[in-house]
Amino acid sequence: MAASVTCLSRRRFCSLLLFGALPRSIASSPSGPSGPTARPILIALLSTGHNDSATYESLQTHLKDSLASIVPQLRITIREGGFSSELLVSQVDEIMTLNPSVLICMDLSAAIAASARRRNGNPPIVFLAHDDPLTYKLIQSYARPGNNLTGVTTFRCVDGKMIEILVDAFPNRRRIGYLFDSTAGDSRCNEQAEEAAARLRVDLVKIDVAAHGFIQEMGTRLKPLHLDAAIAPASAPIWQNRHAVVETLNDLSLPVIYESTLFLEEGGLMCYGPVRTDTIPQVAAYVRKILLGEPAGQIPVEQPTLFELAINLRAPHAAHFGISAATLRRADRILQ
Amino acid sequence: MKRESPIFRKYLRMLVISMGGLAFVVGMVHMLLVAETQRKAVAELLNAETRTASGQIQNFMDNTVGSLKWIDDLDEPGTPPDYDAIRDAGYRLLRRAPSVVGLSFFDSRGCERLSISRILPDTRSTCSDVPSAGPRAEILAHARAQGIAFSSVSFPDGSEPHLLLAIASRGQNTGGLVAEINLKVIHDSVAAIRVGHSGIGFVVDASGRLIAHPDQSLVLRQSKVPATFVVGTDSGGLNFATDFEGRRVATASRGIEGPTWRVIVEQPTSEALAPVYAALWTTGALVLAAVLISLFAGLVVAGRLAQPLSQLRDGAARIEKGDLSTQLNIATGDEIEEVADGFNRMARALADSRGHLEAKVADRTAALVATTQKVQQQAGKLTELNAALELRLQDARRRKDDAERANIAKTRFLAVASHDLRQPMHAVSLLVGLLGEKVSEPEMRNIVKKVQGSVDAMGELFNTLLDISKLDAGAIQPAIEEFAIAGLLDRVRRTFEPLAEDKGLLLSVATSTAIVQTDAALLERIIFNLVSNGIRYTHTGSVLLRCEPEDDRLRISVADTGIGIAEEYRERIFDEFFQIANSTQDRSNGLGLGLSIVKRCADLLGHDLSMQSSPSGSRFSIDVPCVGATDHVSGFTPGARAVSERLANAFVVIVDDDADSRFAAEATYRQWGCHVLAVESAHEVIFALEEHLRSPDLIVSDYQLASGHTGAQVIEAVRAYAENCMPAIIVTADVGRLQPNQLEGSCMVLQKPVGSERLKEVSEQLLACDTACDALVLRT
Repeated sequence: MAASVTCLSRRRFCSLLLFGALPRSIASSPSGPSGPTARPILIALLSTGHNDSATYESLQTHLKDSLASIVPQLRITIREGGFSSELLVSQVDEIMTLNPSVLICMDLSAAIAASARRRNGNPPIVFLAHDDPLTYKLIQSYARPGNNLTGVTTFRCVDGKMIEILVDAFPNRRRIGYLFDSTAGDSRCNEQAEEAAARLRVDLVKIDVAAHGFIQEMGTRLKPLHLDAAIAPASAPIWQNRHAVVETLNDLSLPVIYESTLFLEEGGLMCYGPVRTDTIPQVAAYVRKILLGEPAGQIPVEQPTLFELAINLRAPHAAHFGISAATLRRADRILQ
Repeated sequence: MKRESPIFRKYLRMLVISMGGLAFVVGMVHMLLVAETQRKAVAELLNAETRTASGQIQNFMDNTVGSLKWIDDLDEPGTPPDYDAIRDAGYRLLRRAPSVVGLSFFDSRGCERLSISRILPDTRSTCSDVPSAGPRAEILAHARAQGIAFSSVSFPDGSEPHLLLAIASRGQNTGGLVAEINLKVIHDSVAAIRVGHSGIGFVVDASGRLIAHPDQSLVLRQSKVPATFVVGTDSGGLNFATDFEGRRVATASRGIEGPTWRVIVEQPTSEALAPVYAALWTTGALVLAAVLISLFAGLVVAGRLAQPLSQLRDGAARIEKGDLSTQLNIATGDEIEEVADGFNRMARALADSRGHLEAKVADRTAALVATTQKVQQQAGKLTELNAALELRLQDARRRKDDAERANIAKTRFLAVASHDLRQPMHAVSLLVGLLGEKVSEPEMRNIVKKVQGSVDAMGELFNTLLDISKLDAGAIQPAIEEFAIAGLLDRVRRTFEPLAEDKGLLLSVATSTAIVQTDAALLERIIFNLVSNGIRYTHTGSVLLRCEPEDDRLRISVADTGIGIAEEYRERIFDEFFQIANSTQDRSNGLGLGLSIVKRCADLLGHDLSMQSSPSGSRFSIDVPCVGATDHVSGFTPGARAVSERLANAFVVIVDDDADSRFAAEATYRQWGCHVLAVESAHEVIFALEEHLRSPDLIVSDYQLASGHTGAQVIEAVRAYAENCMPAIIVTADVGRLQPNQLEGSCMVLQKPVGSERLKEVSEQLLACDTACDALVLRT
């Protein structure tokens, strides 16, 4: 039985999948006394750091929904790098030995590492990125990414827009801190923020969150700067330490605008950024297309089109910040 | 009964074709009607789906436009725009319309005063410098002309399709609003379109590029709709194409107002045309069943119809073989049974008459044997007669061939002999004439005169022989021309008047102004022969030549009071060498070829020749085409009678390569008192003339000279040397070789032999002619 399943070509598999007859086909093939079994379809998940279980569960649920006809054969394995590049590489190599049908990378760093360790461009990769894959040269274009990979990105550089919103919300606060990540490969967002600040005539104070020990000493390092407000883009250090970051900034009574609603859940005051509630289903849909035989490199990478300005009036000191009426009017969502 | 009999197959075929064919035709018509009805239904369904889908897209566009107009209304004519209010409203719009990516407000100068974006920081401008440029300003310019303008679809960042939509503000000098719309939002509306089980809808722009499709990847890849799709006007019809997945689909399309987009709905043909196929299968099965039933019914009916007929056929076959005792037992109770009864009666009657017939046949056979023997005997005799007849026919063919060969040989002999004899005869004729003038003794002059007569007769015989030989050989081709008959009549009169006077006959030649259309030489030959013949056979009385116009013809008749032509000779009068009352073969009366020549010439010209005769004389008539008349009677008349003096003093140049002829001519002209220069060739004459101070008055030349020159060339050379177009005479043994256009000036052609009197007469005539170089060519 194992031999006959092994000999099932990819094309035949895809055609059978297309017509929804894969289980019957496999069941009707010669089988041993142990009963009908089918070749497992392995999908590997790889993350640079740690993802919450809700994300993995959501992804698995959508995968099973998309691939309902092959659920019995579906196998999913999860690997995490623990924010260690060595561990990430070893996890990638281990995944390669498993020869998965599709590799899902939960962030751009994982996708870059997996793409570099692949042999002959296999397995196909579907990534879920929060950075610009084009800048990192992971893809050739959004329309035709190539390299036998595709994915979804939530990235849109809105640093300049965040400064504009902050100035609108607090017209008298002209000294604004910019918590940026100097290790990020893309400097265009920094430039955009500086241009916006110059045009709006605000004093932009750049603060490197990637500096050694900054997160731990953020309060003591920011206090002497006498900031009126701050913007906190979703860089890796801030994203991974969002609870501590929000708490520290709230302790400083500093009005801050973040890039994700997750920061508001931690007590943040404002956020503006892309809203992608369909990224997980989209990744599942891409996996299905690839298993149906479509080349991953021909599936376009989608960018976010919806953005949300949310204001958390329940945040500490929110009532004392005096957010302008115009900003409250333009807010998409207000948490009270 | 053999069921495979022809009549059975015929009935079976007829029944099957009539019943089964009818069912088949009805079925086919029904199938076509059903197919057309179902096809229309499918087309209506698809078009309805297209209308629904296009309505959804249209609603989206209308709502977007409506929202933008609401903002644009904030820019009121006559009031400075409140850009804070506009920005406020703009953000409300962005919240309500997720597809709007950004907004730009332009003032009346075309300057972008405010820009709102979801991604980039907002900008404001006081527009102190030049107006804005770029695609937004361009599309706004279009909107100012037509209220609302749509740009073509673009793919910024190489990804989602975007559209610029511009709305001009109210008033002539106001600004406008430009919105950038992400069309990816339409995806949800398009993905919701479902036609049947697996039919879908999608939107394309004017170039066929996808704007929205359930498979968003196709849009983001900027795919174009396959070429098999019809992206045109709203025809309301049904089209077929191959979609992105390679499926054969039925499609319908509809345009969207505003942007030049089209909504296309497709459904797999297997699904769309399923009702058509089902109806066709049902009808086809019914048709097949009807055909099978008709086949079965045909087998049964044809068998019943063919069985008694097969019995009849078998009975007839037995009778054919001699079994006259055959009786059929058919009880169908219809006409076939009556036929069977008749058949039985006929068989019995045949048996009865058979005995009588056999006896009669024996009698007839015996008679036939006897007749056959007689026929065989007669056939033997007929065969012998045929063999004898064949021998006679062969003998007749051989005789005919011999006669034809002999005739050809004779003609050839006569032609050659007469030609070769002309040369010496010419010399003899001249010499005899010279001798006659030199002899003064009466007895000798009488002898010379007789010799002269014999020579003339001989010359005439030669001319006649030559003429008949040419006519027989077909060497003469008539040269039809129009000419006045008067000249010919004058020559007849002058030629034969002396002869008639010698015989004591009256020769009367009529005058005529008629212009005839014929060959002048052949007609002259005819008339001369007829007149000559009349004079020859008339001993007393007269010979009359008359010309009588009749319609478009001129009847020329020669009547004599001679011996007439007996009835028994009239059939042969035109035969060669036939002469009446010349049993002694006296050739002084000619050879009997004159009328033969007349007949051949008339036939050659196609003129009617008739003859009337009685014991008191004969009348020959010939009808010649007449084309008109001259206004006077003219002819060749000699000049003043100082001719003899002119000839006596004339300087005559004679050119002839025959020494005897040259000698005779030289002596003759010297006898007449002429100064003569006689040479052999053209070269000699020029050399000889250099020794003379006097220019020649007359040239007499043979035509065909031994040096290769012709008499015409000699005449031309002498005239050129003397620079004088003096008259000339060409004396030739073969007139037929001369072409009239070879001769110029006053020139006369004489056929050898020429007697001295004739030569003298012609010489005097030419010398008397004052118009020496007129285009006058005379032949005789």
